[in-house]
Amino acid sequence: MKGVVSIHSSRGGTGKSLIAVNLAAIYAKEGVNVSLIDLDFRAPSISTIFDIQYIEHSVNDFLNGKCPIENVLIDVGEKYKTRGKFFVGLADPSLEAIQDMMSKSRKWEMEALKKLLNLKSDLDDLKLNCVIYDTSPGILYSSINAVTSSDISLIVLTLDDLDIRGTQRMIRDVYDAFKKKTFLLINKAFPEKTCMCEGRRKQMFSQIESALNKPIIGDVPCFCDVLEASRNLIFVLDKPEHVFTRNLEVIARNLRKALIT
Amino acid sequence: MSEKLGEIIKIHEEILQEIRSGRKFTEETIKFEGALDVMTLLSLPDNLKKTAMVMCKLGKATADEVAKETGRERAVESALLNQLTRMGYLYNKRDGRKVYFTLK
Repeated sequence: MKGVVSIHSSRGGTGKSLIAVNLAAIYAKEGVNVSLIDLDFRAPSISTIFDIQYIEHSVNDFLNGKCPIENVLIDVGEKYKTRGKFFVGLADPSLEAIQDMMSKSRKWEMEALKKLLNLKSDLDDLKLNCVIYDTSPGILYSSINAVTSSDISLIVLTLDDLDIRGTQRMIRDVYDAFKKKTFLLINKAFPEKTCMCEGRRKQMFSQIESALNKPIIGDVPCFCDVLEASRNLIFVLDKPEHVFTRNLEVIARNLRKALIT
Repeated sequence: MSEKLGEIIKIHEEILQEIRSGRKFTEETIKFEGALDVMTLLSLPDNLKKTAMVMCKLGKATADEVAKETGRERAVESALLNQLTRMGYLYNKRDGRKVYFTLK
């Protein structure tokens, strides 16, 4: 397995960061050397999830040319006792940094894209098998740079009509233009205890696939346990037997196959 | 800040509208700042986009090096690189027998 996966969505609140963190944790637990990189410069959240208070070098510093990527990556593998290497690259959550990242020139954005396109070879040197980008929602320079420079893009969406229509526009305007290998992940799919017959579920997913012209790689039902869990915990590591974890493991496996082929 | 973002989104939407309407982007029709940023890449036709993407990655390259990345003929890449140069996104410089194209 080798590749860069961007986790994106057409709008906020779909559960991108939750999926990104837990996917990375599944891979690290299974022995894959993985790095999770926060490219959501508008609303960085990964530092909170990993409870990292002080960031010596941020992803912002890397893109600003202030340091190489290896200085940015923080080893969290020991903390979570994963078999594979587990690194995180954090975006600077300070207000100054957020303002700075929102006022970059087109020239800077071009340089940032170049750095991301070349990141794969940098990460080869660090013996990483997989890199997961957590991106900003919608069509922003940072998110489209991430999508463009990744091997596979995973669009997280809910069954909300606004999400489906927004994703449809985004695929048409951006993804198809770059002919990006893309999968859909349906998050918060159905309430845990809702009885929905398999036939109806399949029919609904098939309609989404047909409307968006992209395959669904998997779905994650909506669980109160996940919503109620502390955001400082990595759910799949904390509750390995939970259905949420099982579903995400299937998605991780499918994604791994897609990266190989 | 939000005004600035609004402007960017508006420009982006205008470009996308023009693409959808089937307008052909040529050297004369594209107005730019010379940067091959991702939004500019979006506005390019497919053949130029592929070459431009490789240039974004390499920064500086010959037509031969770009052809190795895209899998197309050197002559095709040479023509596309020259087109991108005329459009103002690249500049070229001869070094002996080789011509190097560089991002502006």
